[in-house]
Amino acid sequence: MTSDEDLMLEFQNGSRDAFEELFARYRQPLYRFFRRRIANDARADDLMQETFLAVIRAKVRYEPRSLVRTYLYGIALKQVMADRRWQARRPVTLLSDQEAATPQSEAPIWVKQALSKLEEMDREILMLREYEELSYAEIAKLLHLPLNTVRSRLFRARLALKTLLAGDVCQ
Amino acid sequence: MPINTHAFSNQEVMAYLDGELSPETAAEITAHLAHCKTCQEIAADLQGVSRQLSGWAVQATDAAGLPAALVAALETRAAEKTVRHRHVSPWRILGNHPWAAVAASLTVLIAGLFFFSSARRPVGYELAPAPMPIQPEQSSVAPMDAPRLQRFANLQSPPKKQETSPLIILTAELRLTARTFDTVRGDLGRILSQFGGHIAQLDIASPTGQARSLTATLRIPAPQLEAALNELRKLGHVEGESRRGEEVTQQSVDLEARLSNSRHTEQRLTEILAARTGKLSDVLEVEEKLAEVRGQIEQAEAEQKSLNNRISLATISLQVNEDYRAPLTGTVSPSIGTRLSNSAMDGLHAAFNGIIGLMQVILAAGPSLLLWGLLLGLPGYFLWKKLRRR
Repeated sequence: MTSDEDLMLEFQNGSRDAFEELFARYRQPLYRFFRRRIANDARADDLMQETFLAVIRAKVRYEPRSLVRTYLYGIALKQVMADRRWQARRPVTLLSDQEAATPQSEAPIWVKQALSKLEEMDREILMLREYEELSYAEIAKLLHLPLNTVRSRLFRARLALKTLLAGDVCQ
Repeated sequence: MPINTHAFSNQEVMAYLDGELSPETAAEITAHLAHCKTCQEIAADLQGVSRQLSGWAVQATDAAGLPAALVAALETRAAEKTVRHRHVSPWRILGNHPWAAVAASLTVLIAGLFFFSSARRPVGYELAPAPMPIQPEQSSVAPMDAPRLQRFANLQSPPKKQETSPLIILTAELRLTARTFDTVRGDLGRILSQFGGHIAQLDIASPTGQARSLTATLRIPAPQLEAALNELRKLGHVEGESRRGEEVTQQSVDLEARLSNSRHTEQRLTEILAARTGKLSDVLEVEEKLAEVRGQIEQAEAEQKSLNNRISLATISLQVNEDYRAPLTGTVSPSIGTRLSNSAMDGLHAAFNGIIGLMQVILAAGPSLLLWGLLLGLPGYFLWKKLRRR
């Protein structure tokens, strides 16, 4: 199977098939990435598409110094940050995101609640490890943190989550 | 979770479970875990957390194939690339025609020799690197076939040049010393009109008895920067030169993302406003938010315009100092004869001045002395004569 990096280089050279293959590989992972961080289903889908649009726009600037996976999640993280900034500035509308959000019947409510109680950076590290299955080094690169910090924060997050989940279960 | 006081820390156990350790260390921990209950508990706790987290599954998106926005973007890119490919590389032409390569080499050689032998090369500066090329603005935008994708069109339609090459704000500083300062101002105007630039700021200082100076901030179309600098260097002797390029690609992308978000909100609010049949207060609230979002859009558009302006027009900070030469104050030493003659003349002048001075004293004090002489001298004379008779 052609590696992601080779596909990206082929796409840089004008291969549309290479892009479609990359899209097929990362469409669902990126959609799930956004879906776990954005309440609105349609918005998550939009952001996934915007991530690939950014890849198309910046294809000449891509350098094979890092994995395509890290590159994509780096763009995706920026999209999430921008969306959160927008949400924070955004006034309360008649139809808020909570109302517009697709019901997440598949999400155990206690898991989401416990995650929401974690410190933001710890939560991001934990989610990148557990759901996106990124390595410590990839997470460190994405979040611009030292590797040891990622490891210690990940451990702290897991420890805190265990306590939080145990508390919920006991209640 | 138990506290681990063993050779392996809790974090190492976690890294082992995450597959982050080297095979050797992993093998050691595997052996350790086989008999250490504390570490087994730690591992079990960590695995339990991961298991619970894995319960949050997300349904896959059901759409199939490339979304229309991506197809449109890909087609736009392909069209741009086709346009670029129409420009046949000169290297390819030379490769296909060896005689042309030889002729070109000779031409370059002769031109180089001519240049180095005849050109007056300014000293004191290094040749600056060529500016980053900015691609011409593209006007073709692929049609979007769904209203929902309008914001993607909005993302695409602003300056296309930003998407294909790094966006660079070019600035340059040039310090010159000019012998013919009087013509500098006129030459500056000529250069600006030649390259379509303008003066953002201009100060001329003309202190008495000192060198004059001209300080100006010039805005030149970025592609013309190098040529304009070449012309400016001819105004005098280059004392210093610096160039800087600030990449603002990320800033531009962020701005576009902000605009996209704001337009998305505006569109959504407009839809809500159109469909809403609720209370009047709700409608008024939506209208208020809509006005606020439009304000944000206008602000972002203004920022984008300003950024584009800074990208399209390079800034040159120019300082021209006059090559000022102070007038000579010393004189040539005179000959001995001249010096003696001068001394004699000085002596005569001094004697004459002495006589004049004495006469001035006599004339000024004479009447008073005569008066006091008569008043005191006559009685004194008679008194002396009377005493002498006795």
